[in-house]
Amino acid sequence: MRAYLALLVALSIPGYLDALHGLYAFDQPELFQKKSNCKPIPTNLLLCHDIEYTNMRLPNLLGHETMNEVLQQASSWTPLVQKQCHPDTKKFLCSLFAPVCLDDLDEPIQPCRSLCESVKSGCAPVMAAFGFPWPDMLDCRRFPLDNDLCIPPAGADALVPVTKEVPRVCDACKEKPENDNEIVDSLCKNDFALKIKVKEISYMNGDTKIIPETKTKMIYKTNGGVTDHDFRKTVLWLKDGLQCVCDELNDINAAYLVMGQKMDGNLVITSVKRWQKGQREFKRISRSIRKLQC
Amino acid sequence: MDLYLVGFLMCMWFSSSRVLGGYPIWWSLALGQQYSSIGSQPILCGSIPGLVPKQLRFCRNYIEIMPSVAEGVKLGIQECQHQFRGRRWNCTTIKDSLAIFGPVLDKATRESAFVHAIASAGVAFAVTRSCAEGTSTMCGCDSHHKGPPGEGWKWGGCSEDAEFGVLVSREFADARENRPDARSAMNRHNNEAGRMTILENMHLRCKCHGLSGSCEVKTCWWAQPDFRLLGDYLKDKYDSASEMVVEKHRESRGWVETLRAKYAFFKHPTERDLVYYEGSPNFCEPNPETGSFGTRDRACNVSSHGIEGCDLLCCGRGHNTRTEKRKEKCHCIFHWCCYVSCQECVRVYDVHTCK
Repeated sequence: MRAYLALLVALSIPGYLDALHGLYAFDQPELFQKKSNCKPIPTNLLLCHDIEYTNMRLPNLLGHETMNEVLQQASSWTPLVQKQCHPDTKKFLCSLFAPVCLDDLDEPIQPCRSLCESVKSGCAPVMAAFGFPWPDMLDCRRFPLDNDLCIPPAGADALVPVTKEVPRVCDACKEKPENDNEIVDSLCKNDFALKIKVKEISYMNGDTKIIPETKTKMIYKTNGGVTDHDFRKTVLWLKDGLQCVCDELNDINAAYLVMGQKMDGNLVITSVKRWQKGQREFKRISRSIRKLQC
Repeated sequence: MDLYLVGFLMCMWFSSSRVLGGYPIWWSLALGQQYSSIGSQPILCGSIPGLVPKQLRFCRNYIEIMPSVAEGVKLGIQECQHQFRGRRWNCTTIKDSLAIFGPVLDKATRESAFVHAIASAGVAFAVTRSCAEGTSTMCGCDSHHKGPPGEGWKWGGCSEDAEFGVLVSREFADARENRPDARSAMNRHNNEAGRMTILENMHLRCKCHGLSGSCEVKTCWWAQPDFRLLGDYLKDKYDSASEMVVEKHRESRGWVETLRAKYAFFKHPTERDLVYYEGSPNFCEPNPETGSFGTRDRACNVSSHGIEGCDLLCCGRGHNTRTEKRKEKCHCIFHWCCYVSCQECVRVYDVHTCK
């Protein structure tokens, strides 16, 4: 009876009851909450709504904390993008007004300083013409140098540029008309016509150097222009071969019909065509050569 | 007869454990998922351990603010662990304990002074911030702007109402410091010093809203500083804390203890300074009675001659050195549009730890 009362008294002490509630681990994941949020880019953010990503960080990199603030401040920059003073204007401005959200990165990605400098050099004169100086909030010294993780100018990307130039086809390798009269005309303008197989191709001083195999067959040579001595150690030249493309010569095992002229002691190619045995066009060539009257 | 004695001893033991639990126990607000502002569960005031009746009433009356109070305590503890990361006592917390700092704060040391100040500042800071963010309907922006706008700018944004945050911190943190003893006086002083740090570091923050980023239209509002700045400030106060002595006076309500500066020729502490009246233990060796964990196996800086250097941090016992290889992401590049690619590097670190 007394023991029971004593135990009851002991259990009723507040400290005892409190002790049951407080045993928690200190380490809590929410201690390190992300402070910025990912938001979809709203359609009425005209400056950035067609940018190549769909989610932006809020607060952004200009200290705007609400979407209304972003919308209000971004609206005055839309006319600058429309001026097209630089191809990267939108990319630069949106990297600050609507910075891209990446799941695996806690830090925001800033524009590179070179991107800022590039856009500034193109657009600051346009802004000045309208009475606006380049603002402090876009001061390029704020942004990281290009060896840091940052958004680079377009040229620095690994992507193939849209304006990439298609390589030029060598004149000697372009498609040629094939009727008999034109072939005769072509032959008459040249000093020689050979049937060759390629032994070696190399490049020297920007020209392509072609060494045929020894079984070179003489199709045609003009009187007095080209001598037998010239073909004793035949070397053929394709002028500026490094600067252009000649798909015809890609097959090293094929036979070719080569026409050319003798210039400064060198045999310079003016026409290359793959020799296709049995083709009617080459029979025509043979017949044309026989009728040749230059 | 014997059973009665056992019951009595149990009673004494529980009372004793309550006393030895360390205080203020309301710091346990930093623990537990249900006290977090993220949790969706309602806060049960009665389930928060260690609240005194006045704090319990505060919790029930202002339940909306309690998540910010809890957040503020966490903020204070994190900042404490940052500021003391290179010290012998590094603000270690104890898991599975209501007295999350252990008995180290039972004594009236300067460590105790700092923790009181930073926790009190954390509560005021977090409450003020949540008011400005609009997460509570009880408070909001400070609409009584002080003074006319300056030249070239006008009031705007949301001025943070630090006075309200300080009021909440004072009501809650000082609720258990109404005893007439010296420790209570010390805690009230240091709590207030922490809160004063916020009020004195409020600053005008401005934004330009003009066309194309110009400052033709500029609005400003009062803002709290970054909490790291407050931590740095209070750490300086910790390093220059004033040692006091306890005096007893007889007043109408009985004996009252007050604090007086120990050295009269030194500068007397202001309300912004931290005060203490008991010496700190030697934190070199583990001592369960003082709450010292010792510095064995602590990482130290071999090239520093400061407190975080190996000589001082290891208390002259020397240090061990080992080599660690760590895989890290490196040479990260952002590709348009939009992904980040990184290489993986193995870096070699020399890690020095106290013997």
